[in-house]
Amino acid sequence: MSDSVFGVLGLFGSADELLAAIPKIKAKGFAKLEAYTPYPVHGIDEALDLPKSKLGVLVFLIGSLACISAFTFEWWTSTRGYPLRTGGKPFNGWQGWVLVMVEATILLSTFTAGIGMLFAFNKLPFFGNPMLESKAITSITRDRFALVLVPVGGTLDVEGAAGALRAAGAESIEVVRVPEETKPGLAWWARTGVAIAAACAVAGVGTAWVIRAFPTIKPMVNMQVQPKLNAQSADAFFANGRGMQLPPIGTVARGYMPVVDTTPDAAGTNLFNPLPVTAQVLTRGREMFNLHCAVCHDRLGTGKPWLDSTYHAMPVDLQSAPMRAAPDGFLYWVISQGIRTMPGYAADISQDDRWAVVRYIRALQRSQDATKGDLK
Amino acid sequence: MNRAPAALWALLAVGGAGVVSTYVLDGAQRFWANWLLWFVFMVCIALGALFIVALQHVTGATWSVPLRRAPERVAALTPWLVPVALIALFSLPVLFSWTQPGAASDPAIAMKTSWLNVPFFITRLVICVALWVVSYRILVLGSVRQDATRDPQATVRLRRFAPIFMIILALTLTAFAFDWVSSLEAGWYSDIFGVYLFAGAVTSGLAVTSLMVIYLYRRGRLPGITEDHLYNLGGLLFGFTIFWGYIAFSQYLLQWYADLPIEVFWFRERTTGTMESVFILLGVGRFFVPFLALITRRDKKNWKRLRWVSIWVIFMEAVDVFWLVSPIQGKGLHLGWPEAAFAVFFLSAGLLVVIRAMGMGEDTPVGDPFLPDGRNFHLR
Amino acid sequence: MSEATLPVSLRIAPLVEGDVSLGGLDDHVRYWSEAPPPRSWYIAITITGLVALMGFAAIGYMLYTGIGVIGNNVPVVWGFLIINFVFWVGIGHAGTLISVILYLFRQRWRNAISRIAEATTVFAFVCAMIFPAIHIGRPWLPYWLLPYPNQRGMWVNFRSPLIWDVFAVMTYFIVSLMFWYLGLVPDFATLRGTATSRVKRAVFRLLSWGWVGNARQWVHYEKGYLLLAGMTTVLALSVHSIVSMDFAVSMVPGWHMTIFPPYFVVGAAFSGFAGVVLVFAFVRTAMKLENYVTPRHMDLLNRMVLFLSCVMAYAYLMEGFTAWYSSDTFVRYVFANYVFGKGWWAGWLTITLNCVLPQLLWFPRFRRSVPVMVLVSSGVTLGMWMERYTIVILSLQRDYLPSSWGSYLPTRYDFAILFGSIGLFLTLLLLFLRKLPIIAAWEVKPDIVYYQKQRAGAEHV
Repeated sequence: MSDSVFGVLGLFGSADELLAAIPKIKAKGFAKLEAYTPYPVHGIDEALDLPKSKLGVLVFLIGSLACISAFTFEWWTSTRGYPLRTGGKPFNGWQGWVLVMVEATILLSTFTAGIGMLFAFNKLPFFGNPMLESKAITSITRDRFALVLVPVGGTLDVEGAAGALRAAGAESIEVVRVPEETKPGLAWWARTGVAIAAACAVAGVGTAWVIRAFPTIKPMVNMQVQPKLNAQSADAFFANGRGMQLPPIGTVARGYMPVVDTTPDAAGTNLFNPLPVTAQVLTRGREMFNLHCAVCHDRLGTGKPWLDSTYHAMPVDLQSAPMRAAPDGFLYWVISQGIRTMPGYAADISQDDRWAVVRYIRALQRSQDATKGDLK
Repeated sequence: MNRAPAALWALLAVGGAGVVSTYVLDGAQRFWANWLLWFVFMVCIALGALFIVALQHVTGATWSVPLRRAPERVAALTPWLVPVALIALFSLPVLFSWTQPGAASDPAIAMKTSWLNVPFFITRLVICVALWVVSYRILVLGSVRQDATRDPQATVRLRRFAPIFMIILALTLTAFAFDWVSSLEAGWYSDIFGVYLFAGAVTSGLAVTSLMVIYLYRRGRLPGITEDHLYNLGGLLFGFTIFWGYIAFSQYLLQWYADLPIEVFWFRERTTGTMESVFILLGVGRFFVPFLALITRRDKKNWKRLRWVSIWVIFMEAVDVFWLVSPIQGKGLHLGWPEAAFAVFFLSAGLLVVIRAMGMGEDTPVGDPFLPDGRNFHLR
Repeated sequence: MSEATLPVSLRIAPLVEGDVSLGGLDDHVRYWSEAPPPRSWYIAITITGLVALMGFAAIGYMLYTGIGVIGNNVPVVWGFLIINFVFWVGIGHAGTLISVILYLFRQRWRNAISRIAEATTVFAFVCAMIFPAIHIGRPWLPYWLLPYPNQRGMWVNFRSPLIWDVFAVMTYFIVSLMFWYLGLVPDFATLRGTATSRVKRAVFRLLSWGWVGNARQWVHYEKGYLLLAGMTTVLALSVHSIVSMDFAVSMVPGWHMTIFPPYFVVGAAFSGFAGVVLVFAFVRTAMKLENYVTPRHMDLLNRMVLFLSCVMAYAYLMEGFTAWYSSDTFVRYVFANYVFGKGWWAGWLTITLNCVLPQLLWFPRFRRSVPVMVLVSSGVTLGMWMERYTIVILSLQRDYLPSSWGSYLPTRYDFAILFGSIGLFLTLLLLFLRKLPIIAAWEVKPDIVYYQKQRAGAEHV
């Protein structure tokens, strides 16, 4: 049993009795009083001269700090760290930051008000309070109100205190003693150390497993192993087991309509150049001609040049009279299907471009056969 | 001070002269913009005060019973809305572009001419003002009459009418806001606008109530009123300031964010150029200043603090309505001697009306059965 | 003027009734948390537990297979998951408003109901938070939503309402949980005193953090409680406003309306109060709380439901009117579509259940009638879900380009997840009702003392 006294406790039946008792006890000379109640009783703060709580100041400070920090953080990430242009808003559009500032302020302020109140101001959790071992604590948390006269400067007149409390109307008196302090022994430290080490080990192994194995489990692995078909992959869906298939017969690529006519003359009568004679069309025609045709037919279409010695085939002179007389459809057919040694360019030049080339050829032809009137 | 000092009458005369000169010297638009500003301001103060009276009845609150005569007297401004409103009707052709004959060429206006047409507009105004005057008579004159009759049935009747008034207020103040402020720029729309004006009205109503309560309290004319009652007034002012800030910011943020040309032009006019300083003053002054000034328990109880915050809030209500209305006159800050003259005129007129209303009934509703409970009110 | 001479409608009923005492309250509360529950409780919790499991199974299947198993598709890219999220966040506002806002207004009638109301908040948020977690495409990467320095060199887009949501919902959950726990600390101390076994005493000693009820402790405690109340009020306003901004900052016609933030907050309060009414309509009689949760409490709760229903009616009116006033063809169409187009039944259910049915509560007789309040509150709960359905689904089905219009077809997994969340909520609620103190005794005790004094005829309190 410990020697030191925590205080002399008197139990009262109601809050009014407690409040009435306080001045009586103070009059007897007992200056230091603690009150214990099942709910906050109003009037006790004034009766015991308890200082007002400074919690509000702390909350305001932390809240302001949180607000400024949130603003600074948002400002930095939005303007320096990772500026994102969204919806045409300026990088430093403060309007979008206000709400997170509000939330951050509230989160930290409420934390301070709640946990800070328990921790910093009430110094809880604290399981060593002598009151927890007293007989009266059950009544105090239920329906009784207690006044405890505590020692001033280490001394307390226990008999006098008990008498004063009884005179003030206390139902029962209890002398609350400070329980013996038990320091944790070696066994406790060993047990705790092993427990912490085990917890760390489990956490470490667990984290390592999560980081390595987690992405390999379905569905996380779905992003690495996707059921879509990649190029050159096999697939049992098709009869030949291939993922890549030829397009169905009769598939026509856009801009690559096949030429139906079997002879150039038929094409000459059936097909007509759909493109207008505009600068744009002619420029495109020139571009395509110089790219694909000039290599054999020469830039002026004469067919002279570069293949003369190497190849024994003579490209047709596009400036010649038969070529001038040939209709557009004829030229189009030849470009598409090829003729004699010339290959067909249907796969290389799209429909519209081929017609543009035809227009350009006409322009070339006219250029070498211009009249004085054309020079205007 | 139940009789107005001569100085106030002098100010009224000076202000009145300035008002008339504005029309003559500065032109119709300046005159009407100011008239509209003070019309809206008066409506907000009067309806704010009526709202506080009705709120006390709806909630059955007893702490505010001894104080209730203060907002009732401020609500005496309501019948004076009639002449101000009738004169304001003449501003329609000057300020409201949709009244012009060519307005229907704008598709935005053409699609709503069934609402935005002069006859219906005037009808709405007449209905709103009539309903306000009727509500004033029931709520305020009914309460004043109870002083003499001491009949608890009057309280029963007031409590029955108060929720109906709340519905009337919601619909009429919204219609008023849409008609007289929002339709100045008829292409713009914001469905929270009625709530925005309401939030401003409540804070101003609370401010004027607090001023009158402090005035009477300091002269010992409100027995039983303690710091605890002032704390409640301060707390309400604090809370509704936060509410105003919330509504104002929601409106601004949403229209800023979507950046739609059909609506954001309204904010661009009011947040850029010379109006930018007014915008900042409004945000800081109408939210941060009262918020920080009333944040502690001690500050809410302190009558000196409450007094200057109330005066500031009333000033900020005027700034708010100025911010809403004045850009209709075009770019630039339209702040000069006409604005000062109108302020002097309307503030002195308003004060004269309220001072005259001090003669209405007792300083506290002596006939109310809950008066003793109200006087006994204490904070925990 | 004495009570007897006041007209009946002006008399104020006491907050507690019957033969009550401080110790009696503790015994009553302790009975519910310690006595073995009846068979009906076990049956109920088995059912709700199985429903919750069904929901989790559906979620598991959806995560394993892909979002395609639920109805989300183009153009309705937000479906039941978002509706459920907003719905549960709304219900979660119940506890906050009752516990915190009514505390600020010093409405003492909230004391007896605050503990259960706060519990519904915490549980509703648990349900709510499931949805954002599962509706992102890769729910195993939710930490990407948090701003932390990473090797990708990226930071979150603070300008997005979806990020504001992260902060808001997280803050709200933590704060509600903390507030609920703080209120429980003195009650845990009480249970510590009456604990029958060493294990129970140790558990309650731990949970109560060694609370002894010293007056100094109470000074700080009350200050903290008041500060928390003030800030949680602002939080409640801001959280559902931020959720509304997920919609309102967009350009979808019908979503971009400035009234959305307060409209959603009022809607949340509305569904919250209705939820609390529903809970108490059953719990009051089932757990014999009539002395503490009196007919006056139910009357006041129903008045709040009525008031909020009127505010919702105003909000719907403003939305409809402003949609017309905007002269914007698309906005006008969307609102006409709500009541006349595809899905018109959702629009009409919303208006009827939220604005028309609660008008029954103007009559005092109905405010005190359990069948009527259950009918109205169930209607409100369903009506508020329907409102979110109307807003989310109907606006997306028919927005700007008719060529982009589409339909939304919820699948069985959508319904399974929805009912699963309801099952989870009810399971947690049932557990709470039988395992934790259901009344905040330390708050109600002063009311009992006041009532005893009034009965004894004391003049001045």
